[in-house]
Amino acid sequence: MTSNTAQVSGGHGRPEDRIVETFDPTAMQAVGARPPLRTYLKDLWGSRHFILYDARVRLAVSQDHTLLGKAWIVLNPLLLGFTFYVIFGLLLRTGRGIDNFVAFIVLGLTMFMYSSRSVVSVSRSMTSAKALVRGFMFPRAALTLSIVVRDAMTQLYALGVILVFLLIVPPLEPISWTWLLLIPVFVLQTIFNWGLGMLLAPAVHRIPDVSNILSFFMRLWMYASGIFYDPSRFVSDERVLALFHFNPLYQVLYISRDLVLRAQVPSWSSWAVLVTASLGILIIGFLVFWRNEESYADER
Amino acid sequence: MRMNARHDDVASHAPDASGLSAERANCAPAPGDGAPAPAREPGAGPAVVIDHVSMIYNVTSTGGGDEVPVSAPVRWARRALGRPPIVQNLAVHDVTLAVHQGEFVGFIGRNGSGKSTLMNIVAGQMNPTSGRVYSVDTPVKLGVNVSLVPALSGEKNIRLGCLAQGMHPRRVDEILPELVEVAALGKAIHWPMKAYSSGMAARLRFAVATATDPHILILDEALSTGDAQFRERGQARMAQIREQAGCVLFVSHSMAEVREMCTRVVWLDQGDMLMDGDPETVTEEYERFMKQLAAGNNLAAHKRKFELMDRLVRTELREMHA
Repeated sequence: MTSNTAQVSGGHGRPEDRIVETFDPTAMQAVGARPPLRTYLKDLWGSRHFILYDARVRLAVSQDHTLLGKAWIVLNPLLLGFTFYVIFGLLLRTGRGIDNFVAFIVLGLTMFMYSSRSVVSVSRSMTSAKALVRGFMFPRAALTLSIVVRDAMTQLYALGVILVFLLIVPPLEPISWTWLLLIPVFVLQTIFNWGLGMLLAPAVHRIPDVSNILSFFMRLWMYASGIFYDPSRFVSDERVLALFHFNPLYQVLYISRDLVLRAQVPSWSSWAVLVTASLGILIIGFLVFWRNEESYADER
Repeated sequence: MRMNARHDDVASHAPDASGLSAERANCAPAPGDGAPAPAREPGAGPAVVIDHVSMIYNVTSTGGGDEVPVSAPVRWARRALGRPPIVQNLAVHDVTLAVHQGEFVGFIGRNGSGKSTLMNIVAGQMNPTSGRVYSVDTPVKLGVNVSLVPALSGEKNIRLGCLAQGMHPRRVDEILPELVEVAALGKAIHWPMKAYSSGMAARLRFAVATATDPHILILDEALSTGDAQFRERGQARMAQIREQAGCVLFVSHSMAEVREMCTRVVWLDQGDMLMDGDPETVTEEYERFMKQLAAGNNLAAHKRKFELMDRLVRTELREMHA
């Protein structure tokens, strides 16, 4: 019906055969085109079974090249805690005026490294997961979410190990009901990681060099978030303290240390900073990622 | 609708001068004079439309003198950083095609002729430099380099692949035994995929890709690594897809396979379309061309190439909106 041969005058002044095909571009989908936001969200929701299964099996095989296998998911955070116990608990015996300095560092590092690891891996996902994208029908945000879920599962193991570590390695921390409030902190931090990772992913895909800069930036951010010190002891300038206050990752460390080490619930303003930053970054990051959906298929 | 917008000169049959397009015209249902066209019926419109697609790769080259001219400071900076100059590789040059439901189109050509690039573009894995691809359904591509998770067992990879194609977990549970049987891997189905031979992996991928009954299936030398049994089974499965009003785009270097399976063949050479017609004519012409090249008759072969390009029955697209 639509395929036919027609006589059309060619450019060389002689008749030339052509096949005229008629099609309705609005009735077909443009391959690789970015769907509208609602469809995109719906498709993302449709990918939930894949996301959960993918995250689970990838976590399960992530240490398959080692002898001890899955045990490393638990051993990694344990060895991290042990390192600082040996240095600060046994060798230096210094606390710089902080009660239980080992717990202070180990908990802070566990929380911060979750973000730095997850943000970097999500932002690199469009480049690193090329092979997976083949034969994949979901919005590419599903891929970032799968990585976030896998990192979150790893972090749950790490948190569990660290809390047990604090209970059995001296000086012992008394268990408290406030530990339960780590769950919302963990959820908000995960949302923050996903949002920031998606915000950076288009840039990392376009200019791979950004990924190298990002590693440096995350390290700078780590030292600026009070990993090894309590900023209120060193800084008296209100403006610098405000910088710490509005740093969402500093708030993650501050809140979790309050909950675990001091058994107290931090002020509402700390929670407000964390909630606002997480949800804000998620919305901005998601929109930026969605707007660049078509660019991830560009050849680099 | 479609009928009203049809051009008058299209309705009447023009004689086929070259004979190449005779097969093409027969593929689509013949137009009955004045009979109203069913708009959305299978076979009514093309299933895949490749609209003036071109692809240029920017690659670094360590020599050849064909560099893209850049300004002097950029050139100095690249030299200082030890970055080789960039050359452009025109992999696909202005290809326009319409593939109809029920068609089984073979793509042939020398290495580096742009077949795989074109397939990647149709599958949406790569954006063309210019042009667009339209399709009635999401194309599913099965290629040689599709990697699932190497550390995962075959069975789990099937499950993952099915979920990645949007299948519901319950449905996966239902058809998993059937897919395991299609893959016919015996107890190797429980081994990690990194322990598979390329043929075994191809079987598994084939089982995954055809699990969803895709309407548009793209095969990039997917059967070439398999043995005779697998090829037979694969061909049967593809015939089935075609019967279900689907279409298959098929890249192969085996002319016997192309002749046996395809209803239409497109010959690409260095990104240009040379022929588009019935399998017998195109594969014969291609084999003659390859023989000339092998015998060192490069001039004769190139002359033939330009003759063919000149004679090519090109596709002209007309958009219309329902």
